[in-house]
Amino acid sequence: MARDSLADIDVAGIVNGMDHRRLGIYIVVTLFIAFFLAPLEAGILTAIKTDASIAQTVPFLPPGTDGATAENIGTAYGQLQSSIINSLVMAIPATLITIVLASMAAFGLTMVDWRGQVGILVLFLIGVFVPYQAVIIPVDKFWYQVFPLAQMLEPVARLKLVEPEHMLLVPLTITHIAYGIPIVTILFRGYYQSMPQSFVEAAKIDGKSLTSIYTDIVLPLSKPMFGVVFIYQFTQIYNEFLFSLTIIKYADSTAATMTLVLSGIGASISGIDYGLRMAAAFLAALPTLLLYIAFSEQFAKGLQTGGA
Amino acid sequence: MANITIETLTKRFDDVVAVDDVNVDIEDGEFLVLVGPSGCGKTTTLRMIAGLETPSDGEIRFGEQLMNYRTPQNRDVAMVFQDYALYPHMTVRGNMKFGLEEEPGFTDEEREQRVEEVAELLDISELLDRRPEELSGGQQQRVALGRAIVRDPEVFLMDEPLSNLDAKLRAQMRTELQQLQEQLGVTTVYVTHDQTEAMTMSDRMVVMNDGILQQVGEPLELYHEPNNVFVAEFIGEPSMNFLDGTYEDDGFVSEQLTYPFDARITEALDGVSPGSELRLGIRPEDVDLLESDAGSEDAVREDHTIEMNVTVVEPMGNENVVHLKFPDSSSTTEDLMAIVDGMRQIDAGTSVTVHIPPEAVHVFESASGDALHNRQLEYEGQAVRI
Repeated sequence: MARDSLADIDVAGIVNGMDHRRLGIYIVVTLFIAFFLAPLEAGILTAIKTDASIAQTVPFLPPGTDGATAENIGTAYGQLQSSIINSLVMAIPATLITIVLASMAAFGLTMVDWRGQVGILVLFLIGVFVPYQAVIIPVDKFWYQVFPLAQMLEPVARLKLVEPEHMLLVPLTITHIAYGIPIVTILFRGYYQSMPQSFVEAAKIDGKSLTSIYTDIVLPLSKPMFGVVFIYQFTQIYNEFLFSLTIIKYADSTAATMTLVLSGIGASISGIDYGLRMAAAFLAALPTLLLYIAFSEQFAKGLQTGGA
Repeated sequence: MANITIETLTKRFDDVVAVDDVNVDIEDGEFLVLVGPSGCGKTTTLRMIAGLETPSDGEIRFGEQLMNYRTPQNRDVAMVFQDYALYPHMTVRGNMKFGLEEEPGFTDEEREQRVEEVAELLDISELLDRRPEELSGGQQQRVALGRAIVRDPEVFLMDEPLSNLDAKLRAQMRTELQQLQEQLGVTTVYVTHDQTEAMTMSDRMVVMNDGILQQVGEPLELYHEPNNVFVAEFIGEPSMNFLDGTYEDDGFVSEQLTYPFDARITEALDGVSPGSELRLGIRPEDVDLLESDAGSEDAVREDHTIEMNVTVVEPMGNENVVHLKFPDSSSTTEDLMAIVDGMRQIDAGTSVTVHIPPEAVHVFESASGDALHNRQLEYEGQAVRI
């Protein structure tokens, strides 16, 4: 029976339908997928292995029945929990505020005519190219000496809701907003340039104010772009390390963000706990992964229409 | 309601002069069409009237009021855009109401009611709760029109509103738009590159080329009495035939043709010195094709006939467009086009006697393109068609 059904498959037909070029493409694609996914797979497998199993098995092979454990994930969760919350508390408002401000700026730079706008646009463009490393010392000086905002806000912490150190998240959020606005503005600008100018002109002739044109027309039509930029900017801020290090400074601070804590997990004088590190890395990546899955449709749509 | 005065209107974009010294008076309630090839400055002119562009020079007045520096919202104009500019995230009702929201003196209910009235007028009541993307091109066009009408403005401005419709729908909307404008009596400035639209819809039309106003007038005036070669060629489909030659012995002489002028034409060419270059213009429908044996009926007609070869015949049903060439012509395209009755049998490759009636001839100066003489509007020979 099995022999018969196998014989029914027209192998020659399948092979004929595939020319060499197509076959070549499939092979290359498969190799690339394997190349990119192998480390991920090895990471996930390592996260669920016991120490002994890690030492005994090849990284990308599954552990034996006695070598599997959920302990690493539990430990990592315990150590990362509060820092992930800190990161979300900082990254979500930072992303939202960046997007709103940047879309307003892009609206002003593309759909409204005024003198000197090219100069301002150039400033935004320059902002995109300022490297993180170049600003960490000024950022440190600014938030600790020139304008110690976190210190000023400490009385708020006396309301007993949060620790005084948590106030450091405020300057960190503001720094991320300032740093994110230029690139997000440029992304929105590209999107608004592709929007028909007649939308704005028609509204102008109908007597609409600029505010109304923005809130009633441009903003609702920017929805797909908001999806794209939210994912992009959130990932950037959530995964960012250098500003967190500059402003919060210590991994054992109660305000420490995920990236600060993650760098120390599973590393000690006695050696590196690979299982724990891998488990922590996956837990840390989970919010961004979920975000991509949740917004994937909008992301694709935004990329199509925005050309970003 | 308003009449619009445009004086020495000029628009420069850096080095490019888009509109050059245009003067037009538009009467209250008039349907004026700005027509010309693309890039002629007609849309720029419209946008200056709308307030979307600032004139470099000159004045735009509505009634007595100078408009140059007024923002669009303070001009009380409504505009229909070529791409309709319907907001995709709003329903038809939302789109039509959106413009009305800034009009003072309306309660929300009155606005709603006004939208319903206009929708009724345009026969789009059942579309009110749909979104633009669900509508056909023609329906979107109506909604765009409705959005303008709802505001009851002093002036309608329309920028090629029918150019995205298919031919049949365009013809239908042409009539409808014209009726609507008549009914509402609102001064309308309409931009198009389509001379048929301009001819059929306008009270008066303005022909522009390279930013310069060529001629203003009623459609038939421009058709029969063009100011220059450009207007003569642009208006009419198929366009006017032109023959190049010189003025000699009180007639027109070219390589293939010697064409004596009658007294009326020579009078008009009084100041023209013999030997100067001329362009002879004749509309295809005025070119007669005689049966070969009927060629020598009388002497005058003899003077104005010539043997030509038929190269192509395009049957349109009601008429045939006949492409003609001089027997010794070197040109690759036709020398002359003629329109004859659709029932008449003419074959490509045959030779015909072509009669160019002097009453219907236009004479232009070659260098400047200015008209020296235009056709007579009434003459007896018109009816002579075989």
